[in-house]
Amino acid sequence: MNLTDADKRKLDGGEGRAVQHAMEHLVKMGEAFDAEEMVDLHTVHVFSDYRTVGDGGVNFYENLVNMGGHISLPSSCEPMSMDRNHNDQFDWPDGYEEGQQKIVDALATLGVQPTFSCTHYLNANVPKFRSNMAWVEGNATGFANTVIGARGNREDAVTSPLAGIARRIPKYGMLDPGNRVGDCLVQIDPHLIERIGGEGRRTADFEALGAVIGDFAYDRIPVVTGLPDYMQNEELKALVTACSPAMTTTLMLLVGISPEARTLEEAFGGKVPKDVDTIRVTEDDLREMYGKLEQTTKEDVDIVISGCPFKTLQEVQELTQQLGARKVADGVQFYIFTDRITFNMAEDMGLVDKIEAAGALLTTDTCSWCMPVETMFGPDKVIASDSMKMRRLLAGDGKPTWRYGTLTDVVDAAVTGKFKPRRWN
Amino acid sequence: MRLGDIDKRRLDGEEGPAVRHAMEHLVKMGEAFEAEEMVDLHSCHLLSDYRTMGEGGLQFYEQLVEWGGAMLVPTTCDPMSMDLKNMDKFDWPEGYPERQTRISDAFRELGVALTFSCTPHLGHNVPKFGENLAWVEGNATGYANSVLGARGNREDSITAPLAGIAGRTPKFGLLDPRNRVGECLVEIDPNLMERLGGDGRRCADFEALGMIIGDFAYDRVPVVVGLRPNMETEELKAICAACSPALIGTLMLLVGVSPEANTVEEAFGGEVPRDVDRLWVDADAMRRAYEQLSNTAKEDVDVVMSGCPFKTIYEIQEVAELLGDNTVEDGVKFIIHTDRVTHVLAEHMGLTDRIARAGALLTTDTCEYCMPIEHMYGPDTVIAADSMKMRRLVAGEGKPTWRYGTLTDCVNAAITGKFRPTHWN
Amino acid sequence: MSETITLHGHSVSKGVGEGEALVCDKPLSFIAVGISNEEGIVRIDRHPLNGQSIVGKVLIYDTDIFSTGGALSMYTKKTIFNTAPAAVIWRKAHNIGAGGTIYAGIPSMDRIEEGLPWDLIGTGDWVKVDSEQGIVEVTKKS
Repeated sequence: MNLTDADKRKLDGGEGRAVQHAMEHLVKMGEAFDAEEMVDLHTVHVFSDYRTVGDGGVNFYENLVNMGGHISLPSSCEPMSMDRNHNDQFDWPDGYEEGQQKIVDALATLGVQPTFSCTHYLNANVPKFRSNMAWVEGNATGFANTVIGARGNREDAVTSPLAGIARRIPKYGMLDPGNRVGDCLVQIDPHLIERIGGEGRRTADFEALGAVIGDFAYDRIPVVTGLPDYMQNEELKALVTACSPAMTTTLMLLVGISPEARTLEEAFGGKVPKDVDTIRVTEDDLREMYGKLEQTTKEDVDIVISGCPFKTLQEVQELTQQLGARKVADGVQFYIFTDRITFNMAEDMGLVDKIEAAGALLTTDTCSWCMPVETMFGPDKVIASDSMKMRRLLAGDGKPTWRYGTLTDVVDAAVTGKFKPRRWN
Repeated sequence: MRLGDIDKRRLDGEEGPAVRHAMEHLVKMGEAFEAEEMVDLHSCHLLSDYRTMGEGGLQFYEQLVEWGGAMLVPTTCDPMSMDLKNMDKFDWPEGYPERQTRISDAFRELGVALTFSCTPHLGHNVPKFGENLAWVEGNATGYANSVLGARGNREDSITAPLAGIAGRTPKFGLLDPRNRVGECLVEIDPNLMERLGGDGRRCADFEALGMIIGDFAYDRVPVVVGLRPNMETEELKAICAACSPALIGTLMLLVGVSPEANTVEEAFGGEVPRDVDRLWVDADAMRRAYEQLSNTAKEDVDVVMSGCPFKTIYEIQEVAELLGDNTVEDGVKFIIHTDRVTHVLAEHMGLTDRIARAGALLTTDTCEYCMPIEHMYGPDTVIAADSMKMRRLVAGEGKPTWRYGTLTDCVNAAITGKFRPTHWN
Repeated sequence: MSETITLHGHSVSKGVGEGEALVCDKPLSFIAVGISNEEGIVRIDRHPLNGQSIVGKVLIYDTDIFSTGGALSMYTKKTIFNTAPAAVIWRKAHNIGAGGTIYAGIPSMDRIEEGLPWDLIGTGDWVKVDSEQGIVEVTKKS
């Protein structure tokens, strides 16, 4: 890898131990991926949750602090394992709060903005066309690459803060414009587009569509045609959620939407390869995906979850409209996830009061993925959710079982205690 | 103008009196600007401040509510004429807060997110490439068009809400891609570019640069070459502040930055016209711009303000660092403006406290432009600011006099009571 | 007998209005902070009309600058304080001025065929703007 004089100075310790430590790692990463050079970094988004990073993560961050590390770029951080606004509503395991607090403190010392959000790209760390990013979080890197045209891999939790400290990152993967070209083609059936989404169905439909696209593309970059000329932030956010639970890459070239895919030809870097691997997605595929996301046919639900990725203000508003004057059934817990910024707005608009009056809980800073879900919920619990991502990441031995449906279906389940899916049936 | 079936239905009142009223106005606007058709609207940003809209504006919004109007697209709002967190710190005229509150109430009914921010593009209403906007607020439409490639005029405060209620807007000006082409060329001297900006100088320098570009381009679309690729968000925000006090349009094609200006040729729609009107911007131009922006030579300042456009979290951090352990001089008011969203983060990061301890005030939701400034400050008041926009908008008979300088100069003025410019001398 | 000339242009907001001309060749803004809503007096630093009243005048300027709030400020001038101009003529309409005049019912025109409006009309001339017909009648100040 060609290092500039500035890179070499950093590597030789000319900017302190933390930068040197970071550069040593970045050089190894660059070599592993055959990067030819490093590029300037413009924005960072790092991990926060104790459940995932554990004490190793605490040591990692505290070590960076002790070395005098500082992230002096626009930055933000992922949700954490606690909601300090509603601490009494959860049963945290011993030592959890202390572990989480150490991370919160270390991130503050490192200069990371305390956003604790997975949708920071919509409110606190908005990237620009061509910004170089070192971001963790699939839906965020998916949105930034796909919708905004910023450049970044779904960076790992170690490399991301180290790149932030060094302000440099090896140019490979999505950071190299030469790689931002379609590898396969997804054609959406016009009949499906006519029926997809809408009030109460948006998240579940578009997350399911994302999963269909992502499962097909897997480690390739899909070019997607047949989407509407315009898609709402909430629809796109749901679609790109597939980056992590389905697709290992993090760029979808959405023709007519992505700045780098103004035409089908541009998306393929000139012209469409003759033998390009192609799928056509129809209503049947969506129906099938809804079915695959169900793990049980039990109607009685214990928990209802919505807000993965975190809900936007518009989605919080939609949820209060769906709830109306109804109340959550006794014995059912209804969690809605968002970040502190959106929570604050929702409070100002009177939406938090409405949700609390219904007996549901709008949390901040956390979600069930970041929580110790095994000890909190256990394998006997049935969870209904409209999030494909949460459902895929949080299922398996010892974990709760899941039902998948639209927001309307899961709100009804919260109110009646019974999950009765109506979508695509 | 060709109207679609949906337009005709709305014009005929099938969707209620508010939609009909809105469509009637939009048709007149479309005809005045010779629009050929209406397009779907995707995002709205409205005027909020009672100071500017007065009683007529309040009645206008309340009438829309009475007719059952509701925003059909995600909608945020500009700063208002009060700061609910700091009511005791300002002297509001009688009846002002009550009327401003009625505007907020109307917004709630219309479904407007109560952001009260002039930087919606950086949080809570982030536009996308190719999206159609009906936004008031020059710096926001400037950034949305120039940096993000969204499409919208600097919409007037009447047409913006009406377009949001109708969900449609006539396609003219920058909503029509054919008009998004350069008309004049601005070349930045590389020696100037090297010296521009940096900590403590970013906002004043780039707002002054924006003014130079804007005064030259005036009602044309400027193509700007010589900027660094990957400019910081804060730098671009400052440049785009020129859209309103200098540039009457709201698109700058920044070569290497704007998604529609990958090359200078692309910015001009194919090739650079041979006889294109050109401007060369060097350090002398900068020096003159700074001079032009002071309208007094008095050293003693009464008020120091910063945060137009609203400060980002990093800019608040910058103020806190420049203040250090110093305190604001007795008799001097130091006011820093931001929005409630950023204020939440600033509080979490301890910045609000640090600023308060220094004797300065971090406001939310408002700024001097929205406040009844003649009532609050007389013509003898001397204000030092690092905002070209505020300086240009809030000056004239009966209003305070201004000194223009960098943030460092302004902070020093707040601490010592004396404004002593040190930059570009 | 004073000289009367007829000009032709493009209608922005339809209607008929007349009054004494107040003319400049610079951009202007109706925002309250620039032209007070209560009095209709221009208070903009270094502006050629600084200190002058626009009330009841046929206002001639280049185009709209400054805040988009100008439209609602204009509406308030017209509907609450009666401090609006009788009509407006621009070299080229900006949507801020257009939106405000259309909604407030103030006749307005732009793109005068015979030339730049400030070359043809002087402050103090009596001007009748008929934007229904797309004509402007100017009676020169004697």
